[in-house]
Amino acid sequence: MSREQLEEQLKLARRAAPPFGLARQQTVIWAVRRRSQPWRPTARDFRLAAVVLVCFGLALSGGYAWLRSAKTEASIATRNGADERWQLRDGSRIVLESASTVISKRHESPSDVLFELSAGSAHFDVAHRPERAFRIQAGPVRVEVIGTEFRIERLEERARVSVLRGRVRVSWLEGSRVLSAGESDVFPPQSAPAVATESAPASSALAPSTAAAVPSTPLSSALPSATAPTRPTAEALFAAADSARSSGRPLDAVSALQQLSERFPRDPRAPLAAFTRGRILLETLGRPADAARTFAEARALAGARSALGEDALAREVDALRAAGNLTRAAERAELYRKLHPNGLRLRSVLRAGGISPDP
Amino acid sequence: MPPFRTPVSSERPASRGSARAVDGRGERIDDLVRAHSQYVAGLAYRLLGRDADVDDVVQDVFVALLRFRSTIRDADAVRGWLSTTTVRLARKRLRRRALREFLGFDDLNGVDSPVRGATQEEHLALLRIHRALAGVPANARVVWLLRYMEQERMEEVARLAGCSLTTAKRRLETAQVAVKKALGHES
Repeated sequence: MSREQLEEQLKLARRAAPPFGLARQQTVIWAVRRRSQPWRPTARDFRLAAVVLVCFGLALSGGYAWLRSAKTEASIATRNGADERWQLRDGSRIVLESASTVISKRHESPSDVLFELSAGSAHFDVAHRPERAFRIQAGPVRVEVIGTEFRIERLEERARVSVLRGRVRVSWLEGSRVLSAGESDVFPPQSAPAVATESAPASSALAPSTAAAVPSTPLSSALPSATAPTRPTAEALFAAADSARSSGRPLDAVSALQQLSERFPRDPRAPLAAFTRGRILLETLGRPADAARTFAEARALAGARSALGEDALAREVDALRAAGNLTRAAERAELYRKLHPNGLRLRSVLRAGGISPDP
Repeated sequence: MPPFRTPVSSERPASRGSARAVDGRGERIDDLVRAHSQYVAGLAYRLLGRDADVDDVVQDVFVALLRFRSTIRDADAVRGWLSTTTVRLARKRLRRRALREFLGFDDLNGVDSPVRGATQEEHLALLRIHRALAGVPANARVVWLLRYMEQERMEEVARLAGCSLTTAKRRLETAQVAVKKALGHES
């Protein structure tokens, strides 16, 4: 097309115009009037809203069900099985290092995750989430982290902890120690006798699966009969409690642990027994008010500034909040801040106590 | 002759009370539509190059007029206001059409049936010009059409396009290069 032809085409195109007769004008008038009216919901709008609401509800309930299933999954992984790596939703990673490694997730909540390393060794790369306590129970040793990389190896009744990055706090019944990057040690230290001894392997009441190693003895048979001349020992009560927990009899476990605390208040296991009783009352039996009292008892037995005392205080805040006693929860949270200003669970405790993290 | 397009919005309004809708100056919207719709439709048709979008643009223009009538100084300024609004809405439609074409939902060169009132030759001429402008950005296309199709002065083109005179000239040059290229290919 040449320039002249373009000029010719433009001349023709300038004349092009659609007729806009009365019918078409009327269509526009109706449309303009309709569009300038205020919006009023019609039956169709209500139906659409109902469909959207139903879809939203289904999505919500589906998501909730998925979260619930994720929380309650057994999640036991061994290298003998298909999984060598365990990738968690928050980005944390666990690599199983030996064929005999057995690790399981025992508890998970927004503020607290607990794994149990029952055998073998594993490498942990934990995503940094300050609001959540990440704990690993390895026999009598408990490792608490915020965000770091480390390795744990079970050595019969002890555990070797090696930190590659960050810091972890290793606790055992009678003490605790902070390990920094590059440090490695075996816990409990030789000088501090491991709680688990010859015939009573159930040293860790915090880790329920340890009880699986204990022969599943009913409480009635673990405890001496009424006619027996001898009273049950602390070890027997502890073993009976673990056995009852592992076989799904939490009330028996509470009873045994209560006996232990009452009869052997000076026994090194007494604080742990009270703490475990509190956990069962709170998590399994849904009795937060009783749990709060029991955690307070555990704190008194363990000492307010000990590792177990710190945990017991934190759990006491959770229990008081669950029981609806918000004033008391706030008081306890303040106490936690005062006693453990650098505590690993400070943020979650203050949140549970309804207190701002900033002093 | 194509079948007359009846959009969904042509249903009668539910409320008869609004049939007496008037603008801020007491002038009924019916009178405004009857007075100016032919002009708006013609401008929109030539800017868009197809009849399919004209009714929607005309509706949008008069809805905007009803909403912003109070901002128009006098009755003589209505025609100017309608021109500016039509150009703005047509440019928006051209942009949307280009996006749809890019996504494969719209064929810019698709053949539109000649409309009533425009002869076959006039319609085909318009179609050829829009084909020559295919691929030109909406801003530049509108400036070129206002200058050469509507034969507006550059100052008026800039005002209608809502840009400075320099920008209008630059856009015109962009479109002109594309048209020359298209002409070269055809010859």
